[in-house]
Amino acid sequence: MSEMSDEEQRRILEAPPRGTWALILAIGLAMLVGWLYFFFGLFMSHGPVA
Amino acid sequence: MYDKSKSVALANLWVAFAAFFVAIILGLYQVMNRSGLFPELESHELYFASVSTHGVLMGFVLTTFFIMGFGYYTATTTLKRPLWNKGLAWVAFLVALSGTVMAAIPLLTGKASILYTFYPPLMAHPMFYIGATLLVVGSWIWCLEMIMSVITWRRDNPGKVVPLAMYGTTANAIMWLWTSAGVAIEMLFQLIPWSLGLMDTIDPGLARTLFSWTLHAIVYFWLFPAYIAMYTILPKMAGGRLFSDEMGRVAFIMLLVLSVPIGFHHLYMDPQQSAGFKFLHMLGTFGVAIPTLLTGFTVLASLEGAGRLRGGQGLFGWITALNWKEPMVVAGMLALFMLIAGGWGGMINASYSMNTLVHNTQWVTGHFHLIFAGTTVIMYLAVAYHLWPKLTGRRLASRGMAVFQLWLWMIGMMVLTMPWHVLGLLGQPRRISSTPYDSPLVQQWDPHELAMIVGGAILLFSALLFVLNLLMSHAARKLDSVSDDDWAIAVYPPMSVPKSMNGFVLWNGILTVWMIVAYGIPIVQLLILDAPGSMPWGY
Repeated sequence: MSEMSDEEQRRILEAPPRGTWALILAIGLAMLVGWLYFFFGLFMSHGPVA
Repeated sequence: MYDKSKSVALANLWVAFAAFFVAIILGLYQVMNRSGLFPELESHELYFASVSTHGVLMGFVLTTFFIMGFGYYTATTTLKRPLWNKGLAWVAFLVALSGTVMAAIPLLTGKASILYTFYPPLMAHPMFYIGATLLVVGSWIWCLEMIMSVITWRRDNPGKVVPLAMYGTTANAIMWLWTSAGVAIEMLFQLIPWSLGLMDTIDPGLARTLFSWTLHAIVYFWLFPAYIAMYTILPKMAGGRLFSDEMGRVAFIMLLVLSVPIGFHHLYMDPQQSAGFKFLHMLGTFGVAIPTLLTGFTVLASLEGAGRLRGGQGLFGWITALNWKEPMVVAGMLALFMLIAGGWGGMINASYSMNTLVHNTQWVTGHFHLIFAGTTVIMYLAVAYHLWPKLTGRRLASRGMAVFQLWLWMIGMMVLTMPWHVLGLLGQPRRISSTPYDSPLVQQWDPHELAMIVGGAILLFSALLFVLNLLMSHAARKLDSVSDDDWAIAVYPPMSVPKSMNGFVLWNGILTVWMIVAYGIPIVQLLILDAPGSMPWGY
């Protein structure tokens, strides 16, 4: 970091956080899939209350 | 130079961590008792006394004292002035401490084995209720201290932006005043008179409704300081900047407004509230996930910037480039990891009909341990490592041990809570002391019960390392100078923000209306509707 110019540091800090977007989208998708599995796979598969 | 009230901050933090350490020891005993693998340990009386003490120490004592101590440090160092009234801070400490001691006596003598939710008709010794109330009163004095510190600062600095850490701390103080009102009403008008024999009967439905008013937002009271550290300390410790100051303000405001009027998701299976109000609270519950998502995004984006400044390349190269030898960075990343797992579990709990799948099972225990003991506590530990040199003027005894301890904490928490989630799905109830059955169902539980003991042992070892590190730090080499200006700077530091993002008047107004709808109407209905067999006014 110390070898970077102020301009270069600013460019990095102001760049869109692509990795974060990718990570958040992947986590969000995994959570949605997990929720759907629980709802349809575990919960609904119990069927109605007898 | 000004008085930074470090002694009162340190006193609060030491009470918090002493309670934490005692509670961890009890926790290991509890998983051993509960597993049924150590028959010589089994005692229902001791188990429930221990669970109640563990819950109160972790949920009320560790949190309240930590939040107070961290708040004093935050107020003095971000506003760069002494506390509004330092004497009052010591009064808050002594009131809360005396309340804790009062509550501890019946807890430790088995006269308050009513779990930390103290739902009637379980009844404790009045000293427990009075002690718990005093603890809350102590925290209210802290709230006053925080709010007045900001009000006087704003009066002396017109037009200036309240520093983000202090803005979040004030939001938490206001939110706590709102949410603790529910349990305070329950204590003053139901539990204390009932335990003193001034009332013959009690309405558990009303009591559960009032406690639910406090029960969910209390989790955000605990979580707020963790988020504050993520926004305002972590980016700087990672070597970068905060991605967005405004995003932090929006998240704090949303937590204030959304976290209180949603407690009925704890009452999905209760008969005394209607489906419509439960549905309304469910919508709010999903809404409160938004500030958490905002926080996750902003903190990760800040860390991404820090990682890229350290040479991280590609989509995810910044993660490995982070400074993994810095305790705050390690804790921040592990806290977010546990927040994802625990938050997802929370979505299952919050889903109105699907809640039946896991309601009152060990799944719920796994969920709240991940969010509280995982995400929240690991940030408390990291904040302690960060603050100790500043409060004591001495080096931290071992940063390497601190990093190792934080990793152990996460591993122990996952080994403890993942089996609990599975046990919940396998139908194990949460509030049981043992499983003395021999059916095929219970036999399925055995491997998971063994795993939770391993998790509990890892956590105890980790907690021991933490307390040792803090203790040894008091004898470590003195620092030549201490910087109290380690607060993160945003990529675009705000020169000005809208009035609504620098104060709380608007948000208190919105919350008032929402609370009247979400809690006012259901409580009034409980009090005045002539339901068959009901007791008017809860008596």
